[in-house]
Parts: sequence; C-alpha cells; structure tokens
Amino acid sequence: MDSSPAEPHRRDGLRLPSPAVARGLGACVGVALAVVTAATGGAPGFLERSLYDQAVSRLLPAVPPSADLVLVEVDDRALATLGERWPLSRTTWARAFQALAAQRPAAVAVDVVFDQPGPRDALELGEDILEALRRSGLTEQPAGEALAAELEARLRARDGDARLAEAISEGHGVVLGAAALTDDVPVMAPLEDGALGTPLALPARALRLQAQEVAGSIAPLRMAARGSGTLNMLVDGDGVIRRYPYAVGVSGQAWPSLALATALQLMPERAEPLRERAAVDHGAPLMRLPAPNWLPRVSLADLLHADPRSVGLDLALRGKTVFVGVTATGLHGQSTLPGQVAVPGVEIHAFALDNLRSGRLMRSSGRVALLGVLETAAVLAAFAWCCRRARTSGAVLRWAVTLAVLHTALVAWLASDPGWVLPLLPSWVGLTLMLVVDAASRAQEMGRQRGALRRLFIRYPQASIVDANQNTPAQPSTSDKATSTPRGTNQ
Amino acid sequence: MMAVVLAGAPAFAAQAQAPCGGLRFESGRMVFGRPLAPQGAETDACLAHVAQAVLARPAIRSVTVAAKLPDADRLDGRGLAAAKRAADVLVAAGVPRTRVSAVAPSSVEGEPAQLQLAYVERPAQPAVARLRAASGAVEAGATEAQLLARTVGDSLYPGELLRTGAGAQAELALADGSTVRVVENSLVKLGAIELMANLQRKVQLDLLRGSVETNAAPGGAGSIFEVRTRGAVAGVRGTRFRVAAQDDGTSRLETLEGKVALSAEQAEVEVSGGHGSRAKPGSPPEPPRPLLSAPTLVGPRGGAFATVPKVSWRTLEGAATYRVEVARTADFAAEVQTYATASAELAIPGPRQGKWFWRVMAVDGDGFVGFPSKIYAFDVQP
Repeated sequence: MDSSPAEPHRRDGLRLPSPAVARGLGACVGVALAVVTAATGGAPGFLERSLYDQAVSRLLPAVPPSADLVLVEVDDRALATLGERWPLSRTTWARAFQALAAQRPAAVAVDVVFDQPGPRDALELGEDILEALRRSGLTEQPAGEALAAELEARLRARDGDARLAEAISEGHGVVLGAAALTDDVPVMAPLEDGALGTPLALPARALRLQAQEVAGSIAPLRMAARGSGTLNMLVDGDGVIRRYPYAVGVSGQAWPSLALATALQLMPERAEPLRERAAVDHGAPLMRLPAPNWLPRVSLADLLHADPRSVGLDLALRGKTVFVGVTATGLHGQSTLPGQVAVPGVEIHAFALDNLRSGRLMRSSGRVALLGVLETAAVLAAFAWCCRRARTSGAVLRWAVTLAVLHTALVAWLASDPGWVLPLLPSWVGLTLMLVVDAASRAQEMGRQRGALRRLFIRYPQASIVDANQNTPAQPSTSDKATSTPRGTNQ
Repeated sequence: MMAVVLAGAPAFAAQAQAPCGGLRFESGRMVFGRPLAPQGAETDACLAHVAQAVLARPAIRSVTVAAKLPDADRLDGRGLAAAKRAADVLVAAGVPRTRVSAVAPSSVEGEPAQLQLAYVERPAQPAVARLRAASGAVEAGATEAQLLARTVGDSLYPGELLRTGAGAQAELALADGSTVRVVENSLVKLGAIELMANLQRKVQLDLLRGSVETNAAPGGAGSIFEVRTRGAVAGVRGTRFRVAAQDDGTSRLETLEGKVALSAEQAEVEVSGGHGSRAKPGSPPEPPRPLLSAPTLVGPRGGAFATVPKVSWRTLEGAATYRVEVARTADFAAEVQTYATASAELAIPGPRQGKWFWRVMAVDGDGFVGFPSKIYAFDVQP
C-alpha cells in the first residue's frame, strides 16, 4: 500500500472528539434522561415502567395483611342469590347498609356513586292511587282507611332512596364514593360548589390529579353519610395504576379520595399527619403492593342472608373498616396494578388506606427527583474519573459494572427502605454510552499508534528488516512465513 | 320639563325577614340563610315555608329531613325524634307523607345542632332552564293560578310559566346555553327544549305578555329557536334580540345582532341586526326599520357621591323617551330597576348605598327600544 500525504488528513477528519469530551457527552445523555424523568413527575420514567413493575411486584416485600380491613363484595354469588342485576336496587342497598350497621363496623367506605335517584314510577302510581282513594271518600270507612294505611306503609317501604338514606344514617360512619370529572369521566352531572362539604387544606393547584368538576351521590344520601371521597385512579399511559391520588384538585379546591376521607374519619386526631402524608408526591404517591387476595372478603349474599347475631359475621365485621364494592365478573373496573391484572377498584382503595395510615408511601418527585438527578450525575462523574485512571478497556469495563451494581443496589435499598424511588435507567444508559465511547476512543488510539508505527517502518525499512530478522527464529514455521509474507510484499 | 315614570319599584329582598332567612335549592340541598334549629317556632315557620316551596315544585319527588345533633343526643334517640317531628310539620303543611323521610346521621364534631333538608327531583324530566338571576317578584308554576315565588338557582321545567312583577327582572339560563332576560310585567311559558347531536337544538318559548331579551347560543345546522307571541313567531338565525308582546296584541321584534325571522299571518320578514319590526294583530309583519343608536352618556362616569347623583346623557334624534336601567352588577342581572323619562337626565329616586351601574336606551315613538349605551357606575357613600 502506497503511503500518501493526504491519508493522515483524511483520518483526522474521521477522528472522534477527545475521549474526555466524548465521555462527557455520554454522561450528559444519562443526566438529561434523569432530568426528563424528574420533570415529568419522577421515577419510574416511561422507559423503566416495566422494570419498576417487575421490581415492586417481585422483589419488594409485599404489604403485610391487615387485621382490621374487610371487603364486603357484590360478587357473582351475591347477584345470583339476590336474583338481581347490577346496579342493585336501592332497597337492596338499604338492607345491606342496615345489616352492616347492625354489626357496628368502625367505618364503611363505599366504592359506589349513587348519582341518580332510584326509579319511582311505581311509587308515583301508588301515590296517585292513594290520593284517589282518599278523594273518593272510601277512607272514611274502616276498611278503606286500613287499605290506605297499608298502601301508604308499603309505598314508604319501597321508597329506596329514602330507606337507603335512613340505613346510611344508622351506620357509624359511611363514606360514599364521588367522582372527579376528568376528561374520561364526563357522564355524571356535576355538583355545585360546596356540595361535598369542606375541601381539604391542601395546595389544590399542585396536586397531580386535576379535574374541572366533581360529581357525587344524590343529596339525601350525602346528607345522611359522614362524607364522600373520590374514586378516581391515576392510570399511566400503559394502562397500569402505579399511583393512588389521595386528593384531587377541582377548580382550586382539594377534595379527598375515598381512602383519605375514610382515614380522616377513622383517625380524626391524626388529621394533620394524614393530610401531610396524602400530599406526598403531589397528592399521588406510588403504591406499595399487597399480595393477591390480601383483603379478607365477605359476600353481600352472606351479609344479607345470615342471622344478624351470627358469630361469624360479628367476628368478620365488628369494629372493622369495611369497604363495599363490586367484584362480580365483568362489573368491576379492570384495574391493572404492577404484576396484577383485573384488580377490583375497591381493593385498591383499601390498599391505599393501609399505605396511608402506616406511612408506607413511596415518593419520587420533588426532593427525591432532585436526588435522582444528583445520584445519576455522581455515578457518571465517578465513572468518568475512573475512565481517566484506567489503563485498559478491561479495567474500564470492571469499573462500569461495579458502578452499575452499586447504583442498582442503592436504588433498590432506597425504594425498599425509605420508599424513595430513584430513576434506574438514566445511570445505566449513561454508563453504557460512556463505556462504548471510551472503548471507541481507545480503539482509535490503538489504531493511531499502529499507523504511527507503520509510518515509522516505511521511513526506516532496513531497521525494520533487521529487527524482523533478529526476531525471526532460525527455522520459521509455515504459518509464521505466511504471516510475515504480506508485510514483506508490501514493503 | 322632566317626565319620570317609575316603572320599577326597588327590589330589596328582605332575606333576613324571610321565614328561613332565605331559601335556595342547590344540587338537591335546601340551603337556608341561617342554621335551622332542631325545633322551635322559627323552625316550624321555616318548615311550613319549605313545604310551600316544595309543593310549588312538582319535580321534587321526596324530601329527607336530617337532624344533626351531637352524638350523645343522637344515640339517645333525640336526633331521630327531632327529624320525625320536623317531617310531621312538613306533612301537616301538605307534603304527602310518602314523600318525606327522616334521618339522624352523625354530625361533625363542633358543629351546632341543626336540621338539614335534601330533596330528590324527578329524573325523567330534566330541567330546561335555571333561574340565574332574579330581582323583584319572580314567580313560576304550572298554571297562572299556581304561581309561587322562585329564587336564584331554581330549576324550571317544560310547560312551566314564569311571571315577573312590576319592577322585577329574571334571567334564565336555558339548557342549550342560551340566556333569556325577562323584563318586568312579563309572562313566559317554557316550551320544549330538545338537545340533539351535532349541537342541533329545538327551543320554544311562548311570550304571553311583556318582553324578553334573548342571547341565543350558537346552534348546529337545522336548529330551531323560536319565541312565540300571540300573533307572531320570532325564529332565531342570529344571536341577540328582543321580543315584546304588547297588550293590544302587537308583537314587536328588535334584533341587536345577527338575523331573526318574524312571521305572522303567513308572511315573514327577516330582521337583521340593528333593525326592528312589528306585527299588529291580523296583519303581516311590517318592513324592518332601523333601531335607534346607543345614547352617549354624559355622567356620572364613576366616582363616589354623598347622595344619589343625577344621571344625564345627550339627546338622541328620533327618541321619544329613554329607558334608564340601574343595577347592582355590570351584567344587569341583580337588583335591576328600570325608569322611563322623556328628558335627557334623570334623578334616580330612592335612597341607595354602594356601587350602582347604569345605562340608557332610547325608545322611539312606536316603542322600539334601541341599542343600550355604555355602562357607567357611581358609588353612593353617605
């Protein structure tokens, strides 16, 4: 191969930036990813969601079972036993709440919004008949009076909304469901300001979940209940629910979720710490997950048909916090948690209440997000320093693996112990890019040195031949000849 | 010579003297002007008033009375007893017993003992309008004999009549987003309001007496918005217009923006913005005529005064009289009072205090009301 003066210049044009600059660029990519993750609400970023799901569902210890939470479920058996379709009639709900009140639970959280009055056509017909009976004068006779009294009593018994309000007021503290009307929940009639009671003393504008308006159960039920809480979930773009919104901002006011409203009712003396916890991560911290079937269940059919003095019911419900919701096939929301599919929404509210009162909340925004950026920067800076000191690519690789393992261990420990979720991938990406860049720089350096040697041989061919002869054994092997021949030919 | 005709008596709502300190119906709750004690003469008077208000609203299907007492009293059974007693007062005042229920829920710690009332409306009959603002005597009911006083926030249903008394005004927010301002001495029947796909809507109002000013919301293709009088129909093709039904049977239309078709006696004229037309009984609509322009106000243009200042404006050619409106809010929705005068100034009668907004409209010899002037304000600080 002929050497030409232009060749070194062409190689200079293809040369990469200096190794330090290239490694810096790789580190910048990693830090930029961490910054983007922090700016978009904190870890897990959209690239590491599946990794996060695997970690929290398989590696983090599950939430231990709670002895005082129980689910009263409208399951397939309850529907079959009652002979009703969903939604259940108000009179059935009234019976259910009466039966619950008889067991004296500590609180009842209802994962249902009774946003419309029950049907009244039959009642109105009955009222018209009663009115006609009275106008006819038949009620002046004993038989007519008895008939009117019976009709009135039966009409009263069948007024489901009124009976449900009575049953709810009998309970110690019933918290009804409500709905923040976000873009995906536009079908309910919004309530006017103040209809849900007193808003929370939280910075509403800073909350992660924002809505235009809020809807709730009909006024008599709201009046009879202890309070209302929103049932909304925060669903990520991939359809998985990782965060629970303890509060929702509606036109500058903050309203509690079902879990927070129930917790405030159960522990009024701890209202301030509960509100502070609920405000973590802009009001929607990441959830610690329980094992499947974590919540003890009682079928509504058993509640309605068992003897109220049943010891089993008493053990299951007395003094407990009861969550009421539907779990029948096809009726409950197909909520997907990390590692669990088709979880009934009512169970998620129960998890959230347990997380809130025990303080097992995971946070990833604010200071934690800043810590994630700094930690990523520190890992990549440390690797950049190691790269400068390492003499071989193998040493650089060992440093990269060591730092990646340390970073992963730190992220795992922070997530499992204090519950701080730091981004994992940005450091990995930064380390990988820096490693590749460093390897490329070292390869280029090797190539440059090889070229310099080659040019040296061109300039001093005799010296190279002498050197070659001195290094050549007396009886060279065929393979050695073959190896050296091209060099001689080229020369 | 200044001729002043007092067309509207000041509408000071005596809220504090009302049986409940004021009563509003909001999202299924009855909101009282003051907390309602569990029992007592005032409570009974308020409950009787509530019963009348409930009977005046046929859409209300049931009422729930809640007695919120401290837990010690509630668990003693006194809460439910108080609620049942209040329910009995409602029944005695005419509310069917089958529609009244009583509950005694737990109360919030620290809150005083009180009665709360909630109601359920018939779901199958959606409200077609809501009373957004009212000043003076505003009544509604199924027939003219059943009219009862209504307050801001009340829902109105198809077929209901709305009447404004002397000096009264009401502003209705229709279900399609339109607003209708019913001026004093008017009677309007709410017809059907249907909302269909693609913003298509059908709105019918019957103006039996008086005058309405309508700001029609934009509707999709094929939409119908009609204001009917005895002799004519004003069909909206624009956005803002007034319709008046005079006592002699004449229907008068004034279009402020857009286009409105006035039909009578199988004839129709299209009245564009800035024009008016009328249809006398048995006659087709007259050709459109230009409306008088907005008067130029002289003053006061603001500032504080120890007494009510005299308001004045420049004379407008063609104006026979001027209509002066004074209101508490700049949108002329609250406490609106209307005066008529033939001169270009007016000493606004009555003692008053605080900030007031005023504007003037010129009225020609045939009663056509022109464009409203700019809105100025004055502040009375005795």
